[in-house]
Amino acid sequence: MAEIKLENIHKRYDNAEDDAVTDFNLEVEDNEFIVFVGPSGCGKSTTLRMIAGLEEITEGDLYIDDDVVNDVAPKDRDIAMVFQNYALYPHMTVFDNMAFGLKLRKMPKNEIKERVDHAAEMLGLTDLLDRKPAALSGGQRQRVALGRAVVRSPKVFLMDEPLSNLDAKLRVHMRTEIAKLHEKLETTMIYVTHDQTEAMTLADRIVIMEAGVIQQVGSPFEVYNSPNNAFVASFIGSPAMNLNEVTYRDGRITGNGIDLVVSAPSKKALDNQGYEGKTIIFGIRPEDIHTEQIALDASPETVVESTITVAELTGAESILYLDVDGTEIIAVVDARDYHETGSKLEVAFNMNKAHFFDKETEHVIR
Amino acid sequence: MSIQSRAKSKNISHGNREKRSMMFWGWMLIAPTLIGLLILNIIPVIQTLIMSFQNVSTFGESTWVFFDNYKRLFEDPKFWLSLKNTLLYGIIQVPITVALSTLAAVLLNQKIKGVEVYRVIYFLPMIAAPAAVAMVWRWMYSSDYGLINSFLKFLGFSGNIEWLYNPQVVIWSLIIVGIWSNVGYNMILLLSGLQEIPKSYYEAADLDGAGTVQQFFKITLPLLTPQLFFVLVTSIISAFQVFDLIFVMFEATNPALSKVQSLVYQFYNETFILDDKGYGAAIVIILVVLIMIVTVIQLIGQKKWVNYD
Repeated sequence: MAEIKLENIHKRYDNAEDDAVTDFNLEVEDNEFIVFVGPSGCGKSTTLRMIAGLEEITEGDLYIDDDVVNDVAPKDRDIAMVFQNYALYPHMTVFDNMAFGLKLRKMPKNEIKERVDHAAEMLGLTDLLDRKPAALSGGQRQRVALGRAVVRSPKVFLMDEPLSNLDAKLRVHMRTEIAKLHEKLETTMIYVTHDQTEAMTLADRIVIMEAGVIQQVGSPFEVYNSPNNAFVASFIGSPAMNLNEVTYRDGRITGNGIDLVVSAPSKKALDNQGYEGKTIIFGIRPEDIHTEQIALDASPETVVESTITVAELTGAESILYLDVDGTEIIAVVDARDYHETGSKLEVAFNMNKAHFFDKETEHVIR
Repeated sequence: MSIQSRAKSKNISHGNREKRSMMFWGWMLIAPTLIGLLILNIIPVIQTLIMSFQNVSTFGESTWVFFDNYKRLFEDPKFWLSLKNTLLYGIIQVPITVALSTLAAVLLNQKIKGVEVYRVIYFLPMIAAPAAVAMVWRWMYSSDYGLINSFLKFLGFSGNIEWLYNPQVVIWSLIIVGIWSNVGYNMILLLSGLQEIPKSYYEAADLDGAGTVQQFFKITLPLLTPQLFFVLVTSIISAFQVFDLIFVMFEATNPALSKVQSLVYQFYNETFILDDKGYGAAIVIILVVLIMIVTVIQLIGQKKWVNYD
């Protein structure tokens, strides 16, 4: 149970020219599940390690509840962390791994046993308590790493890419386990991942980072539907949003094979902000491109001719790679409509769901 | 024979030829090592064993005396003294050396300025010839003009310790040189072990609330046990074989020699000075058996304390 505040946090490594993390500001509410997401090297793990106290803060203040903890030792921050490689002590049994922190805190033996047993039961580890980590599968190790954090009942849970060493199926399973764990424990959790699906499914709020800078903070719904900039737009969502440079004139966007009428609210925003005659970035999510007859009939002014270069069937959906006059556009459509590679296809763009970004700053135009 | 079965039998003979040629080259490639081992190790060991049951005269004729050499050995007070010196040297030198090596390895595994320089300094005794090392220590131990006594005087002690001649002191003088010579090598071995311990264990321990000392005893030491075990086994073997330091530091006329004389030194003396090869052989066979027993005990004991992942 804790609130965490990061105020103008900077991190610069010795001998480095640039900040690894620049002016990071965030308030994490009690019991919130925050996910830091971004490509490798974006500073998300560094930020997490600064919160843990494993990395020094170059500049700025870190608060846990109302105290500045910049100079507080990791062990005194009442934080538990799950490492990417689990960092289970190889010479200790599962029980000892989980009990280690409690023993060091001089907790009575019966209470240690009670807590470890409880956590083991919660995580399905009861039969494995006498084993050493080498005799466990990847998923079991992962659960022990979680258990080691759980038994401490810390104020804050930190997780550094905890699922990246698991195979795809187990990853999905453990993802839901972690979500359940958060429900049960009612603890503040900060989770680092480069996988936007994990971020979307787990987070109360997502912090999207690139090159050490926060790009956007918001609920999964917000960052998906109203991305602040082209980076967020392209990073969140799979397949990624289609982004193409177009020229805006008289309520139409043209270029890169596209010639479409923009929606009334978009036209208002673009006109008001003086984008007439300028090049902008036009973004549309794959699922906002339709092939159903009803959509084609409803808005003939947004219909475009295309050729299917590749059609991937994923099950319920088909991912279509479309060639629109030389530009590749990706559409996700209902798999019940059969689409053959090489065939011509008319598609309708749902322009109410279109996003526009400034070409220079890549900021959203709203 | 049908075409099919002919093809099959051809295949088999072809396979056999290939197998034979592989065997040939396999043996050829290990032959140099095998021959070397045979000539330099295995045959001498067997010869020594045979010799220990014989009386070998100066001109090489030998007569079978069976266990006479061993009987003589057990009645020889000099042998018991050598055995006692050897064991004492091993029991005291090895634990101190291993402890100091571990400490040095941990210290030199820190991020300190010029750590490479320190590592080289610690390793230097290892590359110096033992005879040269012993000569330098002999000079330092000199009771009249030696560095150590001068330094003790400087500190206000009487500084008249007879490092090389006082029968009460000589074994300690030897142990000190033994420790100094071996710390560097063991440290390098342990350092490699320390560097294999992932940093994340320490980070996890940091968060778990372990201080530096607890981390050393709960994380570092248990994870260093494979290297510690290796260092312990090899150190005991080499300590039981101590010879060159004694040979150079203490001349044959030194009255205190009997208090440092090791089994190997006595073997040298009996075999090459007194020319009693059968008796000398019996001494080394005892030493080999001693080393084997201690090593087997350690191999069994390791299951209790060595952690392999």
